[in-house]
Amino acid sequence: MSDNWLTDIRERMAAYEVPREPEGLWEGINKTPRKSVAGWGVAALAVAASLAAILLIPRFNKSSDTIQSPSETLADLRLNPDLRPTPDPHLPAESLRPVEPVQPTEQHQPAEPLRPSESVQPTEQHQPTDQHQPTEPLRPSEPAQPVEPLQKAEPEPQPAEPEPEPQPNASPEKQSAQPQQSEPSRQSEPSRQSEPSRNAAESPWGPRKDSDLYADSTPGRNRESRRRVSLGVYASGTTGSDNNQMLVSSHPATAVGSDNTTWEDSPVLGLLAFNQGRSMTRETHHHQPIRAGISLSLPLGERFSLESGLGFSLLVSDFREGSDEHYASSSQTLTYLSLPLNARYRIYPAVVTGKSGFELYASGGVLAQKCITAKGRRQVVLAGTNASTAEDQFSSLPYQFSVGTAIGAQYSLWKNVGLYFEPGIAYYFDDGSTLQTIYKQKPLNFTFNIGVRFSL
Amino acid sequence: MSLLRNRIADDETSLIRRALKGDGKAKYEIYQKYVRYLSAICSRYISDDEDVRDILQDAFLKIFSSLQDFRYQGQGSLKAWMGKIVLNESLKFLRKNSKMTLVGLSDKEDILPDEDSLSGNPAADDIRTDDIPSSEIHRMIRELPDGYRAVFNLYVIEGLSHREIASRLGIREASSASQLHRAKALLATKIREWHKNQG
Repeated sequence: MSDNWLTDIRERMAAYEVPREPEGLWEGINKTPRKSVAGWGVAALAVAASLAAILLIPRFNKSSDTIQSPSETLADLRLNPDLRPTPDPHLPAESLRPVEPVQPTEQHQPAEPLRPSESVQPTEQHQPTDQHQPTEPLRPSEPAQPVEPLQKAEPEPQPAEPEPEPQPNASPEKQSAQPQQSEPSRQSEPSRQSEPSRNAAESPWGPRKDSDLYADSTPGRNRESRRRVSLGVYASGTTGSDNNQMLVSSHPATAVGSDNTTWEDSPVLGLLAFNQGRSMTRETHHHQPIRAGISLSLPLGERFSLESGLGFSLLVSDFREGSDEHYASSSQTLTYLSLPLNARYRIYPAVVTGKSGFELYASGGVLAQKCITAKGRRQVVLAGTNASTAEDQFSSLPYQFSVGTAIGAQYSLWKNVGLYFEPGIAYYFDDGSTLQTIYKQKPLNFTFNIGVRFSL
Repeated sequence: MSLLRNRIADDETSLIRRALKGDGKAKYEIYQKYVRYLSAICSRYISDDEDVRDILQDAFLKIFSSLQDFRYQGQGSLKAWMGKIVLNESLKFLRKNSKMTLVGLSDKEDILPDEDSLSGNPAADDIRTDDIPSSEIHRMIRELPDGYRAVFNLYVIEGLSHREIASRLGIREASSASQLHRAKALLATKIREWHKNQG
């Protein structure tokens, strides 16, 4: 084979020089030494700031603010179709009847803790018997009532306020409010059935929000202690009454819900009943959301870029409501799919020269999230034993919108791929649902994102 | 003549000395003097321009940081030394990032097919390159597939043996030989095409 051509190639290529050197090469060479030092310094700062944010945030978010999560109350326990023995429980809330909230305490001698004795219950349940027939601490009727105090921070001042609806029952109540040891109240109750039903009708399903019940509560209080558990059940609306009536005779000694659920079957009733006279607290603990995702950025100039992507958020929350021995605890796990749209401005370096391993930037934009899964598990513990465990039902998987700004540090993994750490702050708009999330409790919140960014 | 050579050598040594003292202008002068040559070397091995820039950047940083270890040995020694560094960086990059045929060639690839299906027949005598501009040759070489290109460069231009190539690239000697064969055939095809296009 003739190698002349190869020789020629060798001779010429060995000495060949390209017409022009690569653009930005010298700048890169000049900058790099400094960059690596400064870059690592800033990177360390960014990482430190991020860690600090992660560690500190939980402190901000952990709260036992009860009032702020109205839905996460026993009232909501009742709203839960699974657990709701009757619609009644709402009633006590509305009626807010604790006419003499103080009395209850005296009257409660939860002597027979577990005796759902009175039969009249079906109706009784619906009776806002404030006086908590102390002797029958567990009258099924009662269970519903405790909710009232729960919802009102200060039962005492209450009596007058929380009655948005006419309280025709007030008078009958008063009568029963007297420390009547037992039956008398019961007797008075049936008469009230109709009224409760009317009140009930306006209740939770109506426009009235649970949050109204908390009007007097002090937002931000860590522990909501309700000492005045006023028992008393309210007749639920239309749904309850008829059944109840019929049940009275057949189930003399059990608390029965409108659908014939006995208190043993409905842990909520039991919970409320058991907790008569005890202080109950509600604790809410929202864990810091974790979001991960991928994002795509489109450069718009030397320093600016537009960015979108897809992400996934995990929101975990724990709730606990009740007293020490009798309580309902639940955990809630929500997952969201998130779609961000951000504008990004690169602070450092000024020019990206090929192998810049590190970037510092600022970004701001909007984020749209959609709740894709919602799981909750509620456990009711009565007298130290597990009375029930149930999965929550969530009526809606809402959209969640927010705006935010952040500072980020990004490291290049490969040429167009970077790993970023982005602590920031964001404001989350009300998603219009009753879903209890950290966003509801703290709309202005810190964020921390980690992700992989592909550059186009 | 030697006076001139000495002058040039002196110029260079003083340049180096100044660069070692941290004189940015001296560094820039060194850079300017050799960057196009070094870019030619690097781009012979690396087809992507951005990669070339990155590799050159690393190479220059290495050059400047190890300049104190360089022993000036006459004219051209600095150039050669810098060229070696660039070559090393380029090969390092290829070994790490090249997703092609440098490594793990199967046995059948080692066979040197005389009946090579590639249209170029290197054995033909009709290949001439002296009328082709250097920039064109450079481009043609860049267009070769990564593995062929590296072997071709190392063998034909750098003058390494197949054994040396095999160790530099982490391939088998037989692979080196077969890749060279293929590279030559491909190049020959390009050259013929070029001539044809010239009319």
